[in-house]
Formats: sequence, C-alpha cells, structure tokens
Amino acid sequence: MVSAIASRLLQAFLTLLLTSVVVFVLARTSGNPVDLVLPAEATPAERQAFIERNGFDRPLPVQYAVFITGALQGDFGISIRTRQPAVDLVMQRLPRTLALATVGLLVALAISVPVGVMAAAYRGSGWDRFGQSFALLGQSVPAFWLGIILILVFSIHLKWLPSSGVGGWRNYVLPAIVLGWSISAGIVRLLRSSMLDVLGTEFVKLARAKGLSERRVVWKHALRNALIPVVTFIGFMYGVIIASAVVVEVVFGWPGLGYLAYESTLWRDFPVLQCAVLVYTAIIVGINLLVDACYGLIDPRVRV
Amino acid sequence: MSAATGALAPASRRHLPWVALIIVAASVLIAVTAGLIAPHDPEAIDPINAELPPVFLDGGAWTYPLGTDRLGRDVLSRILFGARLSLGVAAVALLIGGLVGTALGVIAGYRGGWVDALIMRLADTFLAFPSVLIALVLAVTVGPSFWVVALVLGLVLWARFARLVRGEVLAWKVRDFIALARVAGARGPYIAIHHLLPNVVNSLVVLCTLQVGWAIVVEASLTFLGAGIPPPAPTWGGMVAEGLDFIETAWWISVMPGVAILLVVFAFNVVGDWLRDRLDPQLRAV
Amino acid sequence: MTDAPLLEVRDLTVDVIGERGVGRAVDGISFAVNRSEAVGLIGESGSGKSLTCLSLMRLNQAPGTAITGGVIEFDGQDLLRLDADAMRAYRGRRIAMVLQDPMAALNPVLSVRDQIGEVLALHRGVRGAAQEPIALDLLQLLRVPDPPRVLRSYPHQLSGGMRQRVVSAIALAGGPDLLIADEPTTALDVTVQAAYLRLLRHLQQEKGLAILFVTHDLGAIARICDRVAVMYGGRIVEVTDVATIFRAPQHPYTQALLRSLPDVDRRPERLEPIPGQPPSVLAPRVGCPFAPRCGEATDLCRTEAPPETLLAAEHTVRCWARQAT
Repeated sequence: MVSAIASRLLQAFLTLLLTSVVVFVLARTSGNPVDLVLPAEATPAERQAFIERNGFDRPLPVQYAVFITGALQGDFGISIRTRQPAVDLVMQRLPRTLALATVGLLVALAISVPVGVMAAAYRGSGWDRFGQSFALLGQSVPAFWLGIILILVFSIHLKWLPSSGVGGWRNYVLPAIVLGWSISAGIVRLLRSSMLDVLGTEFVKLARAKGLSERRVVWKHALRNALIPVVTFIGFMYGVIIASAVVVEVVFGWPGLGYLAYESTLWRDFPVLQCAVLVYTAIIVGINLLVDACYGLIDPRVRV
Repeated sequence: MSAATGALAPASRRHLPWVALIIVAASVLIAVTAGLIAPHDPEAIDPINAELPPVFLDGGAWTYPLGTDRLGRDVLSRILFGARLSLGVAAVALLIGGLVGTALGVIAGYRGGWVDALIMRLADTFLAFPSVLIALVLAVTVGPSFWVVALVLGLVLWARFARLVRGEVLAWKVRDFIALARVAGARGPYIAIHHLLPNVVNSLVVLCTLQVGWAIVVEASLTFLGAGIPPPAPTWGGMVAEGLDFIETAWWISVMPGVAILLVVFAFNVVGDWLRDRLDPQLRAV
Repeated sequence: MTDAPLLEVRDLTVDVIGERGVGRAVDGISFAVNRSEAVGLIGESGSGKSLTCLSLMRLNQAPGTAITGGVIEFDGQDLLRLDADAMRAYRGRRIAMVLQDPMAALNPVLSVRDQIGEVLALHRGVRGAAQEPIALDLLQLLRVPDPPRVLRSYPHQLSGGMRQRVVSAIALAGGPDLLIADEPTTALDVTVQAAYLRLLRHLQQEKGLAILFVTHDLGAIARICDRVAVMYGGRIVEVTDVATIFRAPQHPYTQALLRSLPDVDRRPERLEPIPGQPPSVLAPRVGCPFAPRCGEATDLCRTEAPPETLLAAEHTVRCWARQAT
C-alpha cells in the first residue's frame, strides 16, 4: 500500500518534471529565447534585464533552476499579447475548462456505462453488437469533426443549440457531448470486458441463486465490481478529456484553457502557452492522484 | 462457447473485415499513387471556381466531383493527396515509436530488475504525457512540420510498444527453448533477436494496425489546431479547419475530409480488431 | 401428500453445447429428496453432478447448456414449467444453494450485512434496521464467533471457514426447505471441514432442512447423509441408504470408489485407484458409461445401457451384472 502510494507520487513528480524540462529545453534551444518570451517591441534595456535575470549566459541546469523557482511561485512571465501576467490569464480560464471537462466526463459515463453493461449482460445480442460498433465508431470519428457535424445539424439547420460561446446550460450541450464521445469508446470497451469477467464469477451465481432479479444481479452485484478497473481509469480519462478539450474548445469557441493555449500558439505568446501547458499537466497529474486516493470508496479491499 | 456464438454472428460481421481490408488497401494505394490519379493539382488555386458544391448538389459539376474550397482548389484531389500525408505521418511515427519501443521493451523484459523498473516508469510517464500540448509548444518553438508531428506521435507510441513487447518477452523468456539457447551459450542480444522477436511479431503487427487509426486522428487534430503539418499542404485536418469559417455556406469543405478520416481510421481499426482476434487473443486487453 | 418427496427429479436431461458439438452431460437421471432428509450425490469431477445442481435451480448457464427433458418436481410443482419470475420466487426462498468456493462466492464489494439483508428484504420483506437481529441470529445459528463484527465485515476480512458459514447464513436467510450444497467443503481445511459438516447435520436434524449434498468425498457422505445417489458419466448408477453403500455396494463403480478410499482398517498399499479416465461429455453414448473401466464388462455392457433395477427396498442399481433374480 505504502509502496503503491510512493510509486504514484514518484510517477506524478516524474511527469511534471519531464513536461517542465521539455518545455524549458524547447524554449531555450530553439532560436532566440528572448524573442520567444519578450514582445517584439521590447526595448534593448528590457531585453538586457531579461537576459540577466534568467542568466542566459549561465549553464542550462542553472537556468532551469531559475525558471522552475519562478514557476513554483507563479511567475511564468508576462503575456506578449495582453501584457498581463501569464498565470493570471491561465487561472481566469481554468474553471471553464474544468467545468466543461467534468460535464463531458459525466456525459461519457452516462452514455458508456449503460452501453457497456448491456453489451456484456446480453453478450452476442443486438445490444452487444451495438456496443461494439459504438466503441469502434468512437475510436474512428475525430472529435473536431464530430463537433462540426453537430454544429451543422443542431445549430445551423435545426437552430436548437448555440454553436459557440458560454452562457447558459445550452452552451454546454454540444461541446460536452463531443468531449464525452471522445472517451466513451474506451470506457465501453473496458467496462464490457470487465463486466464479462465479473458475470462469470461465483458470487454472481450465488446472487442469482438468492432469487435476485437479473436486473439487480447485473446493476448491483456485477456492476459495482466491474466499475473498479473503470474508476482507476478515470484519472487517465480525465487527462484524455482535458487534452481533447483543446480541440473541442476551439471548435465551439469555448473560452477555456485549451482555447487560450490555441490562441497563444497562433499569437506565438510563449509565456502564456508555457504556463497553460504546465498548469494543464499539473491538473492531470493531480486528478490522477485524487482518483487513486478515492479508490477505497468503491473497493473495500484497499481501504486502510 | 464463445466460438459457438461467434459462428452465429450475422453475415455483416463476417464480411466487415473484408470491406475494411479493401478500404485499407485502397487508402495505401491512393497514398502511393496520389500524383497519378488526382484530377487536379491539389494546390492549384482557381478563384473563379471557388466554393463550388459537390457534383450531387445543385450547381456541382464532374470537373470537381467533391466541390472546391474557398480558393477554388479541388477537394477530391486534396483528399487524395491528404492520404499520402496522413498515412505517411502515421508510418514514420510507427517506425520511430515501434523501433524505440520494441528495443526498450525487449531490454526491459529481458534484463528485468532496475532497468525494467526504470524503463516502465518512463513509459508510464510518457503515456500520461499531454501530447497535444507538447505539440503546441513545439509549433511555437520549433515551428510546425511533418517531422514534428511524427516525433510527437512517436513519443507516445514508443511507450505503448514498450509495454506490449515487455509483457510478451516476460511470457516467452521462461519457455524451454530460450533456456536451451542460453545453455547452448547464446548471448543476450542474439537470443533477443533470434528467439524472442520472431514470437512477438504477431502482436507487433496487430498493435501497429490498431495504432494507425489513432495516429491519423491525432495528426488531424494537431493539424486542425495549427500545430501539425502547415498549409498549404493538403491535409485532412487542415482542410476541416479551413472549412470551419465557411460551414454555413460551403459545408463540404469541412465535411468531406472528415469522411475520409472516418473511413480510413474505421477500416484500420476493424482490420486491427480482426487481426487481433485471429492472431493474438492475449492482446485483447490493449 | 405429506409423504410425497419434497424434490423429485425424473429423467432430467441436460445438454452441453460446446464448440465441437453437443454433449449429453446429464443423461436422464431420476432421484428424490424427502422432507428433512439429507441425500448425497457423489461422483467424480465431470460426472455431471454440479450441472445437475445448477439445473435444479434452473441456473445452468445459457446458451452453453440447456435442459432438454425431464421433470423437476418440487413440492408438487414442476419447476421446468414455471416462467422466469415464478422460478425466481423459488430461488433463495424455497431452495437455497451453497457453492463450492467460499472465497469466490461472496461479493467482495458488499458487506456481509448487505448480502444477508438483501435476501431478508427479498424473501421475508424485512427491511432496514429490522434486518439486524435476524442476521445476527442467523450467524449465531451457524456458530459464527462474534456475529456483530462479522456482520460489519467485508468478505476479504474473513477466513475461508467463516466465509462458508456466511454463505450458508445467506442460504438459510430465506427460510428454505431444501439446501443444495455443491462441494461446500472442498476448499476448506480438514478441521474446518469436519466442523462445517457437523453444523450442516445439526441444521438438518434440528430445523427439518432437506439437504442435497454434492461431493466427490465418500467420507463427507458418511458424516452427513441418509441416502446416497452415485453418479457416473451423467447417469445415476446406484441409489441406496448410506449404511448399505459402505457395507454392501452393488455397482462396480461404487465398489471401485470404495476401494480407492483410505480407511483405518485397511493399509494404504491396498488403496486401488480406478483405472482409466471418466468419459468425455462429447463421447458418443453407447452402452454403460462405466464399461471401459469396469472389470466385469461384457459385450452387452458395451452396446446397451443397463436399465434401473430394484435390488431391495430403497436400493436401485443400473448394471447388467446386478439384475434381480
């Protein structure tokens, strides 16, 4: 148990370290880092101050230490575009992305849990074929394209839902469906195979011998066990969902962190992009740790 | 029992892999011969014929079977050439990821101990890596290009290959013929290449097929975000992005390349699943 | 009608639908269990005894297996004629089951309280806090030490013997008339086995519970059963009372089974394993299934299945060499 926690923490630390090193090295070794981080109209004095502050004449590890110390204190530099601190911009946008990703995850679970369960409970039936086709299609339809199709149908033709922006719940519908879709296929596959394993166990046989209805056997006895591997996966899914959020936010003009990262790429606003990427990674890592910590809620065997 | 239900599966399920196989073969053929079969130059601009609808809509013409984009470029020709770029990126990424991942997977599985622990920790880290974001960073620092996309995909792919190969090597390592080779005095690298790798080939083929679809989707997404292959190259993701602003008047600019992605990715996934079921039942968990 | 058997099985046939064809795993078996009686069903693994158990509750796996004929009459009702809902009302309420592997038979994510309470709610309409005293009584009845603690526990916190008692408590929670115990002691330690068997015998005698005890262990049969049915190759080859089976077994298979049993009176070197292998389910069924391994087999045995012969009151056998004269 302790070693598992230690291993998870090490993993989290490694991921953050690796991302920060990659971002740092890319920034410092490609072209002129001063141009990357300072606006084009910066004065020579500003440039000189920047070079001295970051010690560009010193060895790379020292520069990294300076960079990471600043980052840990929330200093990611100033946005080239808006001249605001990068971290402020990122923090402003973060809640919207988290809200969208969470709704998307709920949509994914609402779609894929019934489909995965029915596919396993009625193995070989129409439900199963539907579930398998669903999983196959889910892997094959790119999120950004599905988003465009939904906009075409529901916003442009039927005029039921807005195609972009934030506001009421109606703005959530299409982006959340697309986000949910992007991970549903994975959950359906995982849940179907874990349900099939569980449905073959002795305790499911005993549950039937108790006289329980098939519905209760499947949805209470089997599902609670089959969800265990799915829950471990949710941290990972959240990472996937947050990554697809970049694409989805761009398609639906959703002003979240992903859209900010996209804009920063277009504007070559490196300080903001760098901050967004590191905050993104920290959140993915943090959610993974949180899911590990909550694992005991569903599986009594790992409760301490 | 599973075979009994399998035999009862409807005809559509038994024919699906063949249809998919044909699509896969056709897409590879198109990628190779795009220059010969495309009706137009994919980058030739024709402003007079801009935003022409596909032939099956009012105002469409056989000259441009799938219509033209806002610059009057032929959508069909761009899709055909797009196959070359999409499959090319996937192939290069699989080559990078496959070689590095297989080598590290063999080492991890064969050596065990701390080498194994280190490589697998690293693989887990790369799997959790937000590749889309790193691609954005690369687009700003290095500039977007074909090779950057292939590299980003390879960064994630190697970890998937390493995991698979390590698992297989662990399973094969304990077999008698490996022990026999070792007793006969064969050295580690020789055993790995002559005895272990041939047994892993099936699984590698399956994994490659299953990852082609993933690579195409991610490449298209990156290009869509402007972090992939830069314009004016005819890429599927790029075409969808360009059409986004004209979605109300000329929907086909975005929709058609999306259909191409869907068809090819779907076909590769079907073939991958089919190969897995036939060649390698143990791989189901991947 | 009170002296009619509680459970009467007539010509029960169950087929296994496999990848390589259809096999007859249970081939027209007939037996009965009277009220408050413990009947043993003994046979090697693969003889069809576990499938018989599951089929009695119609829990045999579909589409892998199918009941293709016969009658399962429980308390005057043919269970095979019931619809799914009516059948479910029998499970847990009239007929309960204890499975082979107590380690796997309890749901790992539900507490013991939940798993017992579920049956109380379903079959006795007892809900909420009212379940607690009944559940505690049940655990007490099964001689579980410290019932309040066990009730709050999750399966992984209990030992194998304790889990088997919890499984039994769940089985008894619905107040069944018949308990089907499918090799309940196989997975337990020898000392725990003996205690559990004593407990079952006690329940049967004190509570008037009928038990169908399925096992491959003749020793366990001796401790608990009143009558025994011997199963071989999907058929019941001999039925008699427990004293006769040990003193004067008639069927060659039963005799061989007894010779393979270690005994205090006999030295270990005299143990005789039965030569050969039990028949495959998919093998064509011609003649007596035991003929290939039987020392007394004749051409008749190999070509024609022997009929059931009544040797004495309550003693039937299926063997060409044991025809009543």
